[in-house]
Amino acid sequence: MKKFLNKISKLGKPYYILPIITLLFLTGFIGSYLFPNTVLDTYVINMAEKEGDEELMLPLSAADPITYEMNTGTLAMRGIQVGINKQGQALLGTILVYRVYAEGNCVSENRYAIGTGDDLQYVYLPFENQKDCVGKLKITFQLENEAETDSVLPALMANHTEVKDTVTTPALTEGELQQSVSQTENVSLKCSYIYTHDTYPFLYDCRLLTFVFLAASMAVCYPRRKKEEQV
Amino acid sequence: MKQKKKPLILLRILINLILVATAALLVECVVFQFPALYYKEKPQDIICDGSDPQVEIRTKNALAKLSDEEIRSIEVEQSNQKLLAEYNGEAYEEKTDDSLVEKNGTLYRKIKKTIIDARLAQPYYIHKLDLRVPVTENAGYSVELYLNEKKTDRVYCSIDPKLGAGVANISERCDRIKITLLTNETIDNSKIQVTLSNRFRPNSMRLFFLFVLFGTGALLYQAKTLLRDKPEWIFAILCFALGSLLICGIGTNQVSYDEYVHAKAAYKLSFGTTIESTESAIQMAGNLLPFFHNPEERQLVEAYEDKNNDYSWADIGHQSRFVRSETRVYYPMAIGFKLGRMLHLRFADTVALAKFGNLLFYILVVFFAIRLAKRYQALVALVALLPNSVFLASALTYDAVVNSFLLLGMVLVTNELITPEEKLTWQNTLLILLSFAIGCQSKPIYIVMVLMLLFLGRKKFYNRPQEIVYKLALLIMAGLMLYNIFRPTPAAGSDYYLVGNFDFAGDKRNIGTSVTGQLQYILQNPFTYALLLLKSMAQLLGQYLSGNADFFQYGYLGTGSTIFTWIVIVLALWLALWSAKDVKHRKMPVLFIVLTLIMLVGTSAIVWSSMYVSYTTVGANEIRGVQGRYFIPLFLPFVSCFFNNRLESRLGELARRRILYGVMMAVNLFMIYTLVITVINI
Repeated sequence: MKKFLNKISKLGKPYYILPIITLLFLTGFIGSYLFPNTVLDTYVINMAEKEGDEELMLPLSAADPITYEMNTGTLAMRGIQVGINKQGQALLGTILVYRVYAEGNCVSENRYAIGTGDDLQYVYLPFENQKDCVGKLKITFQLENEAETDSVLPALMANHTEVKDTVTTPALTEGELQQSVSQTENVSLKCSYIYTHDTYPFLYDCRLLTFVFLAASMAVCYPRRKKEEQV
Repeated sequence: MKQKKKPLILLRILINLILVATAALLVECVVFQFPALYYKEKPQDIICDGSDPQVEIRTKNALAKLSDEEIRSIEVEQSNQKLLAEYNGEAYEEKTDDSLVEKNGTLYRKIKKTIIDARLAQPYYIHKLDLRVPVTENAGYSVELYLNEKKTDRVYCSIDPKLGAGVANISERCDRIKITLLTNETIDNSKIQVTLSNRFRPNSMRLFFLFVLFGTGALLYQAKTLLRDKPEWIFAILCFALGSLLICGIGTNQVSYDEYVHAKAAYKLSFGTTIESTESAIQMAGNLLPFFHNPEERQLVEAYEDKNNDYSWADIGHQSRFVRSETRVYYPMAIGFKLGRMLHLRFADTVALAKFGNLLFYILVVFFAIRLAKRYQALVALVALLPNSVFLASALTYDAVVNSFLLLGMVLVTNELITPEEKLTWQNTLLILLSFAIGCQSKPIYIVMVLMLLFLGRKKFYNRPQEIVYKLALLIMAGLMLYNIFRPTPAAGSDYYLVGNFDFAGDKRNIGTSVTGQLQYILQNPFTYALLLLKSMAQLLGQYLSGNADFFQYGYLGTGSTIFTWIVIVLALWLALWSAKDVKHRKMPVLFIVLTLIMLVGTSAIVWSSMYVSYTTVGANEIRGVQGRYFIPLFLPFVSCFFNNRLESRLGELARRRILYGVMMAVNLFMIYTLVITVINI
């Protein structure tokens, strides 16, 4: 290793190379801090049934939405991941509309073409205006249209697990609750919340190596070294 | 001249290897296979379906007392469930296990006892007893042996439901056997298969062991030039031999400290952003792989692992493409996992390859540490060949990277301390700091060891500003590594919120841990904690001297004898105090001796405190989880305090190195034979 380092020192003067490397790492350190990498982060909320419980379906309709109320605390929400049961149909022309309400105002409205996903797939439904999707939120899911060619309606997957700070209200059809859910039972939407986080993948290395190379630079005699003593 | 000598040396090596291999084979066949050659018996089945009048079989209900380990496991599980419920804001409901019964304050499990009493037609030398039975939960059996109606021995064996079999090592002659099978369920007796055998089957692991044993003797006797001039090569050969014995002997048995945690991290790292976890890999990560106790069970375990290592139904997961700094220490193992998959190796061979990645990396770094040590190579080799160091280098754990780089770093620091007149070079500075930066990635608290450089004298520097900036940079670097413990760089993952919440942070293998809670307790009771810390440190020091500390341990397999501890301590002190004939040690200045001792006490206190904060129940009057191996990086600085230029041994460097390598190999080989070969490979 030492021989290798000695060979490097013969290739160029460490007097110049080491400070340049130090400055490069310092630039990386500052750059990493200023430009973080934003990543999606999944928080699993309700994805599995407890013992004795069974998965159930909350059918979607164009007339009345399924409502999901929850609290994100201080984190701004980026989207939600829900399971869609197409009951074996293609549902190519069916569009899901989902809206997010914060303090009664609609802060996000998006559409998702149900035909693009697989049956029983948990799809990621991103929100707009992430910074407004924070605190107590109400999310509604309903169909924009009911395609004439399909005989059945798609449904969101749910179970009976009690989830803190959430309320799931199934859709009404002609004033009645959908047939698969009885009026008395408590249901919870099966879902994961999607948030974003800033990560700094090179920050640790850059800040550490800045000082490692600064110390190494000092060993070739900085500052105030006479020119004839330089390596 | 050199060209003529080379073929001769190669021929000599080849002849030696053939002689060593022949000796090993002879000893194995003549000594260890003697009963098989002498009795020449064929395998014999015991029919358990009731058709054989010589075999009596009956079943009854019974109670089995739970072990302390089982009780503790139930308590920890309940505590974690309670904590999870509290975190989720749910009410905790205690679940009861119907199979458990409490009697006079002791917990028992309801079980079925099946007794098979078989009389053999004639006396039989049983080497192995193979019992196969389909079970869905852990089971076990004991075998009582009788010869002429006199009980001669009793042997126990466990049955893993994944294998549905348990092979017991008997090595006894008898004419009647009584097997007591304990299960949690009712067994169909006709499905029980019992086979007695005494086959001639040379044991490959014992052969390998004998080869290493005889090979070591030959190497230390013949390789004089290598021993005198290049001790690092001798270390590399011997460490590779010991590590190979451990890797091959232990197989996929998870016997290292929290090996499953490290296996999971290394396995995940061997993939890119998409992780494919086979059933075997999931079981490895969950510490659920079946355990083997002999070569016969090993075959069954490896077949089970291969059957469940099918990537066509692997579990798919995802991870960030950026690797966290503390995870990089798993790269040597991850490369092995990746290579194993690319070569389509069997699951057990892939795990072995991952361990070999660790071992080779360890050898490479220590190789340079020995080469760079100034006149104290033997001491560096001694620390690197400590049984616990070799064991960790041969297991799935990041300790191999930590120990090797900290050893290299401390060698370079010691070199600077014992040469106060020589100026610092940029190469040495870079090597020291990079060694510590890598060695401390997963255990940052050891970075305080590098602070010894802050006390380097003015003569090491060209001028005052250089010294100030150098020491300032060093201080900031160490500070940043320590800062990362409390404010780690954010990473993706759903554990983000939990990790960021210190109220819930704490090791979940223990009940009642909380980082915030424990820190508050220490601040409220500083004197009580100081007393506890000093008492605990003194107790561990006592354990080191009495041979109970686990720097001599082979993980959960066990530890060596107390006498070995003392032999190695005396050997280390002899090597540190006395230099070889005509090769004077460099003296460690008194100031640095004092500072090194302060650093050692300080680092030890930090190690203890970190375990109290993260691993111990809040307010406990003991510090849990501290192991002797955590102090291995401190061994070299400690013995360096004895360096002096007055005492000179009568023995030359060659003799000293023969003693060093001979003793360390004898200790390691003895432990391998008693803890690895005889326990799980015969």
